Amino acid sequence: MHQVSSKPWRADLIVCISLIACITGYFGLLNYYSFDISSDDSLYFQRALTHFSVLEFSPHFPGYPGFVWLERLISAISSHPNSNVLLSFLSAIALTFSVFVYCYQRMQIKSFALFAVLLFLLQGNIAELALNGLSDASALWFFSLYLLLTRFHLPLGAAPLLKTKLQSLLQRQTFTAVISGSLLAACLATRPSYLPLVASAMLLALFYYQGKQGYQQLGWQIFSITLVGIICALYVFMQDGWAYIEEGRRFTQGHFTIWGNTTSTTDSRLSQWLTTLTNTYSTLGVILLTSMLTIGLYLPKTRGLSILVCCWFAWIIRGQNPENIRHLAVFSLLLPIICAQLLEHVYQTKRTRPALYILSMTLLATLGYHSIKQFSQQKNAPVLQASQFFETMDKQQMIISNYNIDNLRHNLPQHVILDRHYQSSSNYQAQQQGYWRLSSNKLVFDKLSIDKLSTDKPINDNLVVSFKGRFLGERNLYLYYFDLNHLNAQS
Amino acid sequence: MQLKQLTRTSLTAFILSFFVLLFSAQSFAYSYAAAGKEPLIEGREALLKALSANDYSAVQTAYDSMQKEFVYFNEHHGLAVDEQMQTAITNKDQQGVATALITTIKAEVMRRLEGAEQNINDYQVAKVLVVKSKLFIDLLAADLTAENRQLADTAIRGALSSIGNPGVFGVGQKPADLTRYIEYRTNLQAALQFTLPDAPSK
Repeated sequence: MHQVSSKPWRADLIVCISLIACITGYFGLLNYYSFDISSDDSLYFQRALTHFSVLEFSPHFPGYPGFVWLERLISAISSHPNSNVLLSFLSAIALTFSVFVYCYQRMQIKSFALFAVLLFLLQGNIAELALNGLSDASALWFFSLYLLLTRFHLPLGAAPLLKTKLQSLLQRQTFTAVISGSLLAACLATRPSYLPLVASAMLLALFYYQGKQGYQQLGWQIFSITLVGIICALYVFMQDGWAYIEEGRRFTQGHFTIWGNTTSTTDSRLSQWLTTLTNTYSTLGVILLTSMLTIGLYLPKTRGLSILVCCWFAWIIRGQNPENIRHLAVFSLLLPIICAQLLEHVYQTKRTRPALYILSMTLLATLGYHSIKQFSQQKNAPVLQASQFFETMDKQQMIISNYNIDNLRHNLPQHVILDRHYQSSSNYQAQQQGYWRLSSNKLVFDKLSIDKLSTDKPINDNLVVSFKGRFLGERNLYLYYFDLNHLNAQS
Repeated sequence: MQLKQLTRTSLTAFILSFFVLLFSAQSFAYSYAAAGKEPLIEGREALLKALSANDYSAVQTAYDSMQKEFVYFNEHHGLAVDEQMQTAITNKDQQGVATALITTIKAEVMRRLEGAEQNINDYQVAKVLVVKSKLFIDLLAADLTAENRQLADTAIRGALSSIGNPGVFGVGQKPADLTRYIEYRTNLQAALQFTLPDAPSK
């Protein structure tokens, strides 16, 4: 894997061509899929292209002003109607380059950097990250720039600074701290829910510096974040005023008291996340990556990133919905880097090389096979497939769904869309006529019985049609039809 | 202090303390479909569940939980939905209960729209009132024709844009346009086919 020292330019050229081939190949293939609005959140971001108001769900709370500005910029350049999807796609490409540059910066060996890129792309959730039209990839790209700038293993710019005078040292440190703080601020402006990640990184960075120096760095970073935060807050307030606070209260309260846990099982959150990890990386993949992470915690050069991964995992198992694998995006960025660094570390010992090659190949093959088998040939997002199904019907239909409500309302104004969250009222209204039930989970017998109140049978023996997700992370949607007055039989 | 100089104990303590902090926090996940805490919406759920089961004692209990909302319209707008509802429950008139409920939801929408009109110069109040009224319109989806649903949607969007924007320190300021607002409010009345008894004629 090491570049040939006698003719480095040839090895470099091969690596560069391979890198470009990997990135254009992978994202070129992803381009096969339509850049659809695939979720309600994505729809809210699309709305924000023309009109920003958190109160009007354009986009949803807390507003993501950084992402909205970026998508407007992309829209101005490309005129793409779904600029938010295009932005997440471009961000995923940029993120791939960041992985390469970071690894090369840390290891100075292009082949290991290329290995990290391959590992990054072979993860099952990258396609979803690129095409979901949400802020994860963009915010993570800013975070990756922060990692690139700080290197996250040495005091900021330590090597060159030692050779300079005290004054320029301070200036340089201040400058670097302000820039790194600005990158973290951009990350938060793009995706405020990365606060736990940013906070962990900042706290962890404190350990890299001696006393006062560390606090100074932290101070400048907090200053930059506050400054950008004020600009974002002013922008949001310019659109919604103090009513934004009211919406924030409603939204936060709703999180805790109304819609809370939207998962479909009663398993513990940790168990659900382990299932999600297994679905994303396969069992063998999870075992290999966990082993790498554990070793990474004990090696000084990978310890910082490994601790970040652990902190993020601690956060998501408590604070995020396990049904959304996009929350694993932080892992997707950091794990390939950690793995490549570990392999490079072990590579120094000649006798371990055969084992190293076997391990690398196993990891690539495991993740690659698991990832590739989850792609489907469907070009459109499931919600769009469902919308196309109903668009052919002239007569008004009643559709009850627990997923993508606003998308359906937006795409199908001619039909009645009822929110399954309001189950009793939906059922009552469905008594008046036959209705369609669109579900993101396949209804098992028990659920069907509850739906039917143990009375009649749905037409066509339960399932009418399923709309398949295009790749890992995009949920299948299942469409059922229930006959007229089926709820009245008991009464 | 370099990270490599940290003792294993302090590293473990850092990770453990982080985990302890997080595990003590309240957990949540998200879906933005729900409207938020609204007595009428929550009461409606309980009421229609009871009505589906033909359990009028439960219907009465559900109604009691939101009776204040109904009484309000009688006391302040001369709309006797509370009496209609009580009579329907007493007579076990399913259709009557449903009708009184739909009328109340429509009245709730129009009440908020009128409230916004009266507070048109108080942007925060006006905007919240109009935005929240949209949540109630969504509940009426099955009771409106496709055409009226789209009319209502256009009217709400128009009303929102006509209440203007205060901006920040004058930047981005957009004055409210009462004439346009009234026009959209009237359109909404037409779409819902409902007018409050004491609604302003202009």
